[in-house]
Amino acid sequence: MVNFRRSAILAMALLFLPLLSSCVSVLSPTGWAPVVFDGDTVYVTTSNGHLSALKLERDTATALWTFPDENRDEDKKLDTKAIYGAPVVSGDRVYLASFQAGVFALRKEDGRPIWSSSSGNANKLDGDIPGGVALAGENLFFGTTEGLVYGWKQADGTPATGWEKPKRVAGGVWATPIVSGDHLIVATMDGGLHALSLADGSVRWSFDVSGAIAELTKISDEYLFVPSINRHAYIIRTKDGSVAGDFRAKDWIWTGAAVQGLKVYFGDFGGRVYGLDITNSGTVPIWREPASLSDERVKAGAAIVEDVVVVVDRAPVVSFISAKDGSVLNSVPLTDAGTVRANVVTRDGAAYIATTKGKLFRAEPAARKVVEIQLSGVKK
Amino acid sequence: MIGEIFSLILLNPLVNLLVLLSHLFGDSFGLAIIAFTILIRVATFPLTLRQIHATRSMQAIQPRIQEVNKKYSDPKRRQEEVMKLYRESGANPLSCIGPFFLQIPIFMALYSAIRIALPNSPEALEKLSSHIYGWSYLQHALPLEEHFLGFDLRSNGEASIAGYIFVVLVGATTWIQSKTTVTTTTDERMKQQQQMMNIMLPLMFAFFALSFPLGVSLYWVVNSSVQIGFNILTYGLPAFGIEPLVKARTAPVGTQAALSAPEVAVTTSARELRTPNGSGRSKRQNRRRRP
Repeated sequence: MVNFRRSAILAMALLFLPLLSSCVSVLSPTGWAPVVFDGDTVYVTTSNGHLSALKLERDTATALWTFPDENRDEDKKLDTKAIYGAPVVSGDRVYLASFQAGVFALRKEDGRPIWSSSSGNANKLDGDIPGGVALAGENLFFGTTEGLVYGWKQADGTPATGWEKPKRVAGGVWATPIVSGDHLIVATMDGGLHALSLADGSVRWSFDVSGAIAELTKISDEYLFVPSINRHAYIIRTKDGSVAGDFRAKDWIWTGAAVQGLKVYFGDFGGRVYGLDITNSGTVPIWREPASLSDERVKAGAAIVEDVVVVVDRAPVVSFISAKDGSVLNSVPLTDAGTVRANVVTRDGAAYIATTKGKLFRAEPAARKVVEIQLSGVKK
Repeated sequence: MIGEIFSLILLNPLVNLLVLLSHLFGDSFGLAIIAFTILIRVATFPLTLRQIHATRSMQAIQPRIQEVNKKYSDPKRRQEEVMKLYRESGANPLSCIGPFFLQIPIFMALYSAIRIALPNSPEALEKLSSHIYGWSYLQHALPLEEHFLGFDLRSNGEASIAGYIFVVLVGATTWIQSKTTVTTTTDERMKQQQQMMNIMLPLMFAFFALSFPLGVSLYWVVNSSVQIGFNILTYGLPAFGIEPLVKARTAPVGTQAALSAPEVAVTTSARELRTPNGSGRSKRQNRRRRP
């Protein structure tokens, strides 16, 4: 009787498990690719792993094409899931890494794939792609969650010479690799930073930190900004992987940095924004105290226009911060926009913000205001 | 609101404990789950022991409960007599299910904790930051290694052949657990019901395991295995000639009487057994109360 009763109770509890677990939501991939400009065309990704090319006019943008296109039978098989890395425009092509469907070379004109089958090329890959692609010469490079770095020919998506087999590094590769000279610099979630030869993938130097590195920003040909969830931001010399500076923040740092000369600006997950000067080696804080953004975490990389740093937190609230003293000049909440994780991108004296609801905003530092750009024709 | 309280009290400590254990065990999340399960079982061992004794007490008075059921047709009177029997023998049916009540929130929190601690998307790792305490030792442990013995602990049971292995293990350990647990009822109908449940429950849990992350199934398998060990220690394995190692606690008067003189128990009520000529109602009085 007792066994029966307790088993029945346990069974009932299991039945209610999905109900309770709904109190604790676990997020599915949605992506956080920043917007990319090419002339008067802006490339925007949506939360369902779609890329749209839009013709941008002042406060409106009209879709030229969307990939994958739900109206095309051949695209219905594609499950990109999400796009995290910025698409790269080169010549008449757009190179795009999707989270689950692999890498595509699209025709800039109409967004149709030049290579990769209608079901993508994920079956050629081991792992998902939580970053973007990096172009170097005639090849493109990207990493996967399984710690593999692939080098493919831009022409046809076949393995590049010297990269017939992907190179394995310890830990998943989430950050978009960076090309510096004849090196491909790859960061791993095991806290490794490796410079691989573009010619054959051999390791030129390595640097290890104790926390995962999920983002990389190139400051100059000489320096890299390397944030880690161990709360440190490292300034690394690209030639040999030596540490030029090590700054400890108060929370996780998982964001790109706004760069102005040899000054960098970035936020942490505790809602603080820091400014560092690396001119004389080391990391010298520019402000006496970090700027504070109401404890909301900052995942989106900041942007700098003139002397104003534009930062968007998770709320999302756009903050205009003085680059000179770190004072908050103005804060503008974005309504019904989801959240913001994509790096903010500057163009023509404005900063562009893509949200998880597929909306696009233009922040104007001079006027300290934010304007929504009305998108039309976007297939989500 | 409920979600926030659940996170604060149970989920966040559990996520952090799992991350801590994982780092201590060489960044193996699988070993962390196993260690966590054993820790929980050790911490709740006093309760388990109480449950074992309570089950034995219940088992001991079953013949007498049967007798009471036969003897009194009035449900109210029957209930009174059974309760009296429980009181006198020191048995408490609820104490048998106490550890199970404790297990339910732990299981639910673990289910959520594994989904949170092993993020399946970059967004989920970002969100994990809000669950992790600010200790650098924990921060350095992230992200966790999601593989254990070649199994991806994030994936569901139905996602791979490895997942089906766990589904089978969940069903098998649940079945063995129920088979090694002593049946406390002597009622034939209840026995049949229990036999059916002994088959249905493993199947049901195996079905649930299809949609659970393998980490949760690993917890289930380890937990069931530990329970099987307890059962063998407590009840022995008669089929293999293994005697119980944990001896029965000295039972209260009524129970001891029932154990030593079942024949008496068959023909007497609880109070009559304690005080044969006491102030309890006689059979005649009882008959008068019948409708």
